[in-house]
Amino acid sequence: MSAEEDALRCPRCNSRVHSRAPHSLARTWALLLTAMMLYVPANMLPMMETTYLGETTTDTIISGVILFIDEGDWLVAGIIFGASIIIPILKMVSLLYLLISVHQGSAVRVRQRTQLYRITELVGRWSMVDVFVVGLLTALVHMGQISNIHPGMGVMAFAGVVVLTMLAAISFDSRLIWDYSNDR
Amino acid sequence: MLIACHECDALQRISDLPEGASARCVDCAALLYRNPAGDLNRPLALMLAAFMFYLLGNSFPLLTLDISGLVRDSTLSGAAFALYQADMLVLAVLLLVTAVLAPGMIMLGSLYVLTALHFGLALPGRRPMLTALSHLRTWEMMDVFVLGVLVAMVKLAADAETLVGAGLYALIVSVGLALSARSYIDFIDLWRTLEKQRL
Repeated sequence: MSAEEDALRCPRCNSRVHSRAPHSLARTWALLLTAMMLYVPANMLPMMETTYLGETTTDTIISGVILFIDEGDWLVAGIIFGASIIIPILKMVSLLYLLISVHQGSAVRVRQRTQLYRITELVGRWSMVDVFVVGLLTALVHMGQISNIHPGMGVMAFAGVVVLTMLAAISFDSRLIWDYSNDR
Repeated sequence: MLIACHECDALQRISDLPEGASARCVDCAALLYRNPAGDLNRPLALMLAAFMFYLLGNSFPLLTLDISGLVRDSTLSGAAFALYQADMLVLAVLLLVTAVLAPGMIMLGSLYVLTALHFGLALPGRRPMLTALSHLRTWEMMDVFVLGVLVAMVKLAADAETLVGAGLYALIVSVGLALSARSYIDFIDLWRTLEKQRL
């Protein structure tokens, strides 16, 4: 099973055919590790700078969640916490687990691992919520002297994390999980 | 039909399914194929409506903000432009791609292919278009964007008066219609229809 196969093409849609995606593991590792590294500045650097009547306050992901809780908006706090903290961490840990399990040639829980992969792929895009929130607030709150919102570098880093984890999930060939299953 | 599961590579046969039924992989339960009810009439109509509301959603403001008398509103592209002006070109492009371009191209592309298949027209580039649609789907995030607008609304409601704009309503309807249209579409089904036409 060579990774550098001469391009076989599907007779119907002309896409390239591979027995397994070439360099799937290497690419997934690269994307995942970069995403994990970016997640630190994403949380530490500010997402937004709010200027209200001359005073500037900065907000990170977590401080933003706490602000929502303080105002009693538990639902929104939950959404942001879920989308910006829980989902990215679960995605990264899941991909890490899947990668390691394939490297170890694990033959157990094959079905569950495939389901984990499926959920990881489906759920990832929802992490973009906070990026859109910042974008919208930047566009709307432009009130000269009274109030202004400016995006911080944290949002760039976070967008990077979301995109990279999405690409990592795509580049991971889930069929590799089954290559070590005892039933095949 | 002989098929190799795209998630676990299990080779299996799918017999002809009744309308509305779906086939799942014997090993990993991935959705392999669905036989959508009815002809392509329904998804075509729904997708067309979704596209029209998408155009409306992009033309009208999403939210109007009133802070102590100062009023400001923003459309979708306005938000992307604001990010660009705030020196966040990458984010502006990301927003534009995931919330405007990808959804728009998917809708137009779907309309193109569905029209060709439903009316039996030999429109050029059907195959590359159908392939492209599968890839574009990853980057379509209009529904996530709508949620983002709602969250932004709540965040602003504490300090200002917010008004939901026509654009937001239109986008919500568009998301709903597109979702509905997709439930009547199955890619393998479309490919088989395309092959059967042999135009």
